[in-house]
Amino acid sequence: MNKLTNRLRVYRTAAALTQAALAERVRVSRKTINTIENAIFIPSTVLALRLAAVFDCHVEDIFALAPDDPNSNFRPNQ
Amino acid sequence: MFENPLTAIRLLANVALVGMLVAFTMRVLSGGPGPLATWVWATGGIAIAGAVVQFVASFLYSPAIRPAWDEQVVQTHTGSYAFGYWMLLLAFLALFLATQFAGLSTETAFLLLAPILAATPSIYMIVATIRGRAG
Repeated sequence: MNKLTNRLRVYRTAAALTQAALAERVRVSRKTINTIENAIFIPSTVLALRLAAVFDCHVEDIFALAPDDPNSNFRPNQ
Repeated sequence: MFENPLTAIRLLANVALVGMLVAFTMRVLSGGPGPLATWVWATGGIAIAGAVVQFVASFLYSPAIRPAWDEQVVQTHTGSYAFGYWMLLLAFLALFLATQFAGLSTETAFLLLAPILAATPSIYMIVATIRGRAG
């Protein structure tokens, strides 16, 4: 079970950014963006903050603990 | 397939090293051809050449190579050494048992440890690169 859910793809497509363009903005490889979007790779706090800065939102808007986590902040209707 | 030159060079260096180590292992097990010392030098030379080429490429393509060392790659790279450690530990035990019960000479067992030590992190990185987790 993944520990973290994310809406990175939603934010990225809404901003009309390709994975490569977003990767360049936050200084990682396109494949890292891809693995984050697919919940394979969990980014560091620094990278999460950079991603949030690109979309001008809070980190929690993009990332949330998985729903089955007792401390989850996951809000499916948001 | 590879957007970053360093990722491609790193993959090629790892494939070359693993290929050489497989050949070295076969040489150790078969007893021929060529002097063993030549194989040891050739294998070491490939490993060092791979490192030098990557180092030089890091300067030539800087800062384009930066994403090839992003946090996912660093995590994968660390994982490759952890994988190598456990594989070597298991190999040591297996080779020790082989020397005790299967007639393997301690000299051959010692020589076989080197390819396992050097190849397992490279194999891990090759697989990670193909799976898109190493740049």
